[in-house]
Amino acid sequence: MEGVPNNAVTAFTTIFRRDIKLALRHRSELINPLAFFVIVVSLFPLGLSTDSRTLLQIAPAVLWISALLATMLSLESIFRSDYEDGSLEQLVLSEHPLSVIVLGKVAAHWCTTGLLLTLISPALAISLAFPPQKLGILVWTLLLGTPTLSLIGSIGVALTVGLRRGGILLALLILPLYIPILIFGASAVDMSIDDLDVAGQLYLLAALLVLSLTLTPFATSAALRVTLE
Amino acid sequence: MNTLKNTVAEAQQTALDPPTLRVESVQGARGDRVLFSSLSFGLSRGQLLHITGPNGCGKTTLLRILCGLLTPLEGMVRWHGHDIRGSASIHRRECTYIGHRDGLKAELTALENLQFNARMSGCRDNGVIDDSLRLLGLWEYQDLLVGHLSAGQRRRLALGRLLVKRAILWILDEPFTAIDVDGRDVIEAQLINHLQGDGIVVLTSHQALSHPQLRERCVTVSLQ
Repeated sequence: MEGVPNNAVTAFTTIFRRDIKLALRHRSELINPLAFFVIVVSLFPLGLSTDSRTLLQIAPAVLWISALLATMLSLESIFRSDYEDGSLEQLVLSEHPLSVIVLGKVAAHWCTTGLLLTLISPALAISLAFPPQKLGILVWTLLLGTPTLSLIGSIGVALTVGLRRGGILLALLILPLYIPILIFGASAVDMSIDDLDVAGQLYLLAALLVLSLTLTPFATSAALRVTLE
Repeated sequence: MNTLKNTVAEAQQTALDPPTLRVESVQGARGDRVLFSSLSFGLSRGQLLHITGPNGCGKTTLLRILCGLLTPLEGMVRWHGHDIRGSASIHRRECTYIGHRDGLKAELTALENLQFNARMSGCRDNGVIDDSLRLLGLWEYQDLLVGHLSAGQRRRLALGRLLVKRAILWILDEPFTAIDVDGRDVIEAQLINHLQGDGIVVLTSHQALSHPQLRERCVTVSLQ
């Protein structure tokens, strides 16, 4: 076993690839958040008037809130099955830093939820009379914002995964932390429609992403250790 | 709260090396209930500790303390003389824990599960994985999803983690559950192999160990 490179990067890629593979074999869990996102967003033009100005006015908020709720629906899957089948114990006891393992799992979660939401968001935005030339900003805000949602959410899941019905508690714990991301994300999209400069919001979203990327894995690891006690 | 029926301390004195694993006046509890307190013993390389006792007496709690998942209310566990909470990474590298939950993913095949475990512990040698599957009698089932395996086969696969990680300290919670006679012989042979290679085994089991070579290296602690 000596001489084999066995470092944190290997651990990250190993866990990332395993979780992606698991997500692909668990189609329903993969499709649930996407279906939720599509259904909620596409109900708005049906429920509201077909007046494109009204739709355009609410489009940024609708897209962002739906993406946020879809992410929240899928959060439990980060640790739930690992907790139930005992894999989480093994991961905590692995020789690798738990924060790296957590980062690998959250990265896989984002690729199977947030990234997919971001990719289908332009199609849904068009249904809300969104100007096509502004779709880039929408995609950028979601691309910067959804990983932060997954990262912050992982702390909440780590704390509540040991509870039988942690769903509501999870929402109460993390929704307040999601609010800044929602405000900056939705307002950036909103302002871009009015042809205003949105660089400030994008930088802030990026800053929040970097901040949560560096800090949340440690908080999540600590929470997992407490949960398993 | 508990009595050490067998004189672990005596067995300790006969061993020449200082104990590699040392438990110092540990108190364990589940919820508010104290299960055992002032529990002390040491284990040297090549020794096997068999923890016995009725259901609910704290066997699993003790194992979880030994592998570092639980923090004891009092006392500490030392590995190579260091508190395992302070030098967790060394302890984790040199310890394998098989709990009563198998820690396998039902959506992955037997081979994929074992490969994942091997990669996580730094083993990139596919020969080791193949040998382990053959030894555990799972070679023909390697491409089957773990969700489709029987309980005994899943247990065998979980024990495969021992073979791909090659840690010094094996902590096994009821390793023989659901395993047939042949499987039991295979596992006992591996335990003997491990002890002869200066490994340490801590296990709980309601059945007595059958192999004489295991019994002569075995120390029993009874929790009550």
